[in-house]
Amino acid sequence: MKHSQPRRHRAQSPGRSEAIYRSLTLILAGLLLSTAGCAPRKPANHPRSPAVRRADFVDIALRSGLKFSWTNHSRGPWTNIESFGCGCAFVDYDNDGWMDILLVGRPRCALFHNNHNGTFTDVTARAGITQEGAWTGVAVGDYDNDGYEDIYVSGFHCSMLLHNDGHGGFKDVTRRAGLNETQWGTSCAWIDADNDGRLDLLVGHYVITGPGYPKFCPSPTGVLLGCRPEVYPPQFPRLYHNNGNGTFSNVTIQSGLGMAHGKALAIQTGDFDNDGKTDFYIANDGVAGDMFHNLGGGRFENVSFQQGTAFDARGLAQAGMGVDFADYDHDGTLDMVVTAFQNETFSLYQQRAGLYSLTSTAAGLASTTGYLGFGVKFFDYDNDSWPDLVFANGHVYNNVRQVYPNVGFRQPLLLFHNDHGYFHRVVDAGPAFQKKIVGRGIAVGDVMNDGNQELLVVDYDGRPMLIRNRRPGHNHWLGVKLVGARSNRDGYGARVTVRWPGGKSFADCSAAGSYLSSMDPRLHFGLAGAIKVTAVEVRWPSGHVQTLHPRGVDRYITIRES
Amino acid sequence: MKHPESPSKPPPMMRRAVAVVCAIALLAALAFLGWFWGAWRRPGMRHYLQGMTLLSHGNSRAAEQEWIDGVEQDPNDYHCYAELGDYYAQLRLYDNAAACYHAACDHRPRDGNLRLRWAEAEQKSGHLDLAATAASQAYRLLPNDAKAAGLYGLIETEAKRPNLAVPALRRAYQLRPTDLLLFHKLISDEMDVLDFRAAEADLAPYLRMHPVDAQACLWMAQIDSHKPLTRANLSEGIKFARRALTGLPTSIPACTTLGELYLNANQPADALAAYQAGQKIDPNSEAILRGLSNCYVRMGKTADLARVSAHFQRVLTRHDRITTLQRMLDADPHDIPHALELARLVNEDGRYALARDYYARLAHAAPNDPRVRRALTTFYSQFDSANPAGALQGSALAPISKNKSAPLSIPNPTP
Repeated sequence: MKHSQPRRHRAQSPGRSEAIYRSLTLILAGLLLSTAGCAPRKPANHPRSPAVRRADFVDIALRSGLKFSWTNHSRGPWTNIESFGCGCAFVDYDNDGWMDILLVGRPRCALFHNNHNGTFTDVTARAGITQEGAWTGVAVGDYDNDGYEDIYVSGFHCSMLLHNDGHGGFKDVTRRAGLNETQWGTSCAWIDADNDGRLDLLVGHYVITGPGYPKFCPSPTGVLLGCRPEVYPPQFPRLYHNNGNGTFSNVTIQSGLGMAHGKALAIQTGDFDNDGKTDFYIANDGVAGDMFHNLGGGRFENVSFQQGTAFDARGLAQAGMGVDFADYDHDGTLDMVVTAFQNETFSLYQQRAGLYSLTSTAAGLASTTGYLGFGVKFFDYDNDSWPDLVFANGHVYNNVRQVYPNVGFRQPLLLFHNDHGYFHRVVDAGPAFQKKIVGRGIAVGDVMNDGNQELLVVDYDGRPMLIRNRRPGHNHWLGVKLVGARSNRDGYGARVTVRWPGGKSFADCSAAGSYLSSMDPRLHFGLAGAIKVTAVEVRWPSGHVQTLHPRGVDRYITIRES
Repeated sequence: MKHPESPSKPPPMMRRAVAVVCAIALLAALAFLGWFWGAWRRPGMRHYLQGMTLLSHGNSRAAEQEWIDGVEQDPNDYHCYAELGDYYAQLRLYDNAAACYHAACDHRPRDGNLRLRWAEAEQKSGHLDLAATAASQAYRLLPNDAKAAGLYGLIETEAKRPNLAVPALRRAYQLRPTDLLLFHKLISDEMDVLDFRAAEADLAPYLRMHPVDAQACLWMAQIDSHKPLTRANLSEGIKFARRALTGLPTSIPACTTLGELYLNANQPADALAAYQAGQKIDPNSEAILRGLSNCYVRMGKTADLARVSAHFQRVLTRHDRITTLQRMLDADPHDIPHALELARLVNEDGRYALARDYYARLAHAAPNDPRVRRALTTFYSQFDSANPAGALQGSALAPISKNKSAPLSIPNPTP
C-alpha cells in the first residue's frame, strides 16, 4: 500500500526510466506478494484455523539403556489387576541436577541413573530397591526436607516408602512411617495439605477384589472380559499427615476426605481457586470425580458438584483415568483435563468465573472419543507458551477384538497442539506417535536439561518409551527449580508466574498428575520468541511472595525461598 | 349541442374476456366436481365414510374393519390410515397408531396436524427418535402452532436433548404464555444446558407474577448459587431457596441449594440446619451427606465428620452394588439370589416403594421359592407396627420404577 501512492504520482509524467522503475516495482511487489503467500503461517488468531505444528518424536529408550519390560502377562483374558498397568517417574535421586528414571513394575521396580549424555545405567540393586510386589503408582517428594528426593510406591495390597539416604541408596521405612497399606493403591501424590512445610501423602485406592468377587464378566456376546469397576465395592483415598518425625498419621476423616467417591485412579494437585492453598482433584473410575477445596489447616471440602467437575459432558460419571491441570487458555486460571474410557470423550474442563465447564468438543478434543486414555499431560513441546496435550492410550481388555472388532487393544499416543486455546491433533508427530502401544503411565521431564522435554511412557505390553522431539523449533524457554525453606523443600504447591515482553504464564509446582506417575518437578515455561523474561514471581505455600528478574533464557534457574 | 344518451355497451374485447373467464370458471367447477366425484367414488373414501357411519352407531370393531378394507383396496388414500391411527390411539395401541399415521403422512406430506398425531403416537410408544423427527417436521409445517412447537420441545426434553428442546419450548411458550408445563420444561432445560442467563431472563418476570411458585424459586436460587459469590447474590439466593423450601418442604434439591448458599456465605451453622432437614427426608442422599460433611469440616466437628463419612461410604458402596445388581438382572432376570439381594439393598436404602416393586416381581417369578417367601415376610413385617400401605405411600422419595410396576395382587395391564 505504501508503494502505490508515489507510483500513481510518477505515472502522471512517465518517462523511459520511469517506465523501467515502474515495471521493476511491479515485479518486486509481485514477488513480495507471492512470497508472503507461500510463507508458513504464524499461529493464527482464529482458533479454528487448521494450522498444525509438526513434530518429530522418536523413541530413544533402547539407545539410552532403559532395559525393562512389562510383558510377563497371562495368556488368557486379563483380569482388572493385570490390566491395571504401572506408572513411571522422573526423579533426581542423587541431586546431580539430572533427571533419573524410576520404572514401576511387577514384581520389581527399576531405577536408572542419568549419565548426563543421554544414556542411563540400571542402579536398582545398588540403590536397594529390591522389594517385590504388584506395584502400581509412584510419588516423588522430599518428605523429611533433607534435600534428597524420597519415593513412595503404591501397589496392590502393598506399599513402600523409600527414604533416600543421600548416598545413592534407599531404605524401606514403610513400616516405621506407618504407611503399611493393605488396599489396592493407585495414584499417589505428595501435597502440603496444611502448609506446615512438610509434605503429606495422598494415596488413591481402587476397589475391593479377591476371593468372592468375579475375575471375569461375560460380554454381551459371551466373551469373558475383565469386569467393570461397578462389580466391585469401592475403596477410598487416604490422606496421611506428616508428623515431622518420619511417621505419618491417617487423617482421612478429619480432613474431610471421607467424602470421596472412591475408585480413584489419578490425582493432581493445584490451586484452582487462587487462594494460595493447594487443592486437588481425584479422577475416579465409573463414579463422580472428586474436587477437594483446601479450607486451610488440612481441611478439605468436596466441591466437585458445585464446580461442575463431577461428571462428563453427558452428565454421567466417567471412567476417569488420568488428570492434569494447566492454564491452557491463558486466562489466568487452572483448567483441567481428564482421560476416560473408549466412547467417552476425554473431558477438558475450562475454568470460567470460578466454575468449570466442559469444552472438550469446542476446544478440539472430540476426536479422543475413539481412544481409551490413561496417562495425560499438558506440556509445551514447541515452547510457544501454550501448553499442548499428550495422551497415552491402550485398552484394558487384551481380547477386546473378540467383542468389538474395530477396537484395538494397542492404541497410539495422541498429541494435540494448542493453537491459542484450540487443540489440533498433530497427525504427523513422528514414529513414536505412530507405534501402537498399551499405554498407561506417562511422565514429562527434561533428561538432557536442554529445554526439549522428553516423554516417559509405559507400554504395558512392551518396553518403556523415552520419547524425544527431534524438531523442537527455535522458541525460547525457562526452567525453574524451587527450593523451599519455610515451605516444603520441593516447593510443591508454589505458584510460579513468568512474565516476558508481551506475555506471561503461570504453573503450579507439582510432580503429580497423569496416571500412576511422577513428573520432573522443575517448572518449564515456553517463551515463544521472547529472548528475555521481565520477572519471575513465586508465591510459596508459606504465603511468601518472591519476585526475581533473572537474566537470560533457555536455561534452568534455581529459586530458593528467602 | 345535446348528446343523445346511448346505452353503453362493453367493447367487444371485454365481452370476449368475460366469456373466457366464465368458460374457465365453468371448466374449473366441472373439473372440481369431477375430482370430487372421483374421490367420492374411490373405494378408500367409501370405506372411510362407511366406517365413520359405523363408528357413530357405536360399532367400532366394524368401523375398524371397514378402514382396514379401505386401506387394502385403496392403499393410496390417507383417510382410512388416519382414522385407523386415531382409533388405535384411543385404544392406546400406540405402535399400531404410529404405523398408521406414518403411512397417512407418506400420502399427505404437507399435513402438519397429521404429523403431530404421528409424533404423539411415536412418543407414547417410546420411539423417541421417530417422534422427534415427526414432531420437528410438524413444527416446520406449523411454525405458529403452540402445540407443534411444544410437542417437539417436550419430545426432545424426554430424549435428553435439552439443547434442541429449548428453542422449540421457548417458541411454544411465546405462543401460549399461560401454559405452565411448557414454562417449567423450558426453564428445566435451560438449567440443564447451563444457560443460566436465559433461565434467569425467563424466570424473573414470571417470579414477579408468581412469587410463591416454589419450583421457580428453587431454580432462581440455583441460578444465584452459580453467580459470583458476592454478598448480594448470596443473600438473594438464600431468600429464594428459603421460599422454595417453604413450598417444597420435602425437596432434597431445595435443602442442598440452601445449604450450599449458606456455606458459600460462610454460615456453616445455618447450612448444617438445612442439610439436617434434608437428612430427615432422606438419610441416604449422597448430596445431603456431602453437604453435612462440608459443614462439619468447616465447624471442626471431627466426631460428626467421622460418623457422616462412614455412613457416606456405606451408602456409596450400597448404591454401587445396587447398580451392579440392576445390570446383572437386566442380563438375567431369573437370577433369584441376586434379585433378592437387590430388593434387600433397595429396602435398606429407604426406597420402600421400589423395594416393594422388586419383591412383587420376585413373588411373580418364583412364588414357591422359600427364600422369596422368607424375604417377603421380613419385608412386610417391618411395616407391621404401622400401616404398611401408609408407609409405602408416604415414602415421598421412593422413585417409581419405569415400566416394571407390578404389585402383587394386580396383574400387568394389557391393552
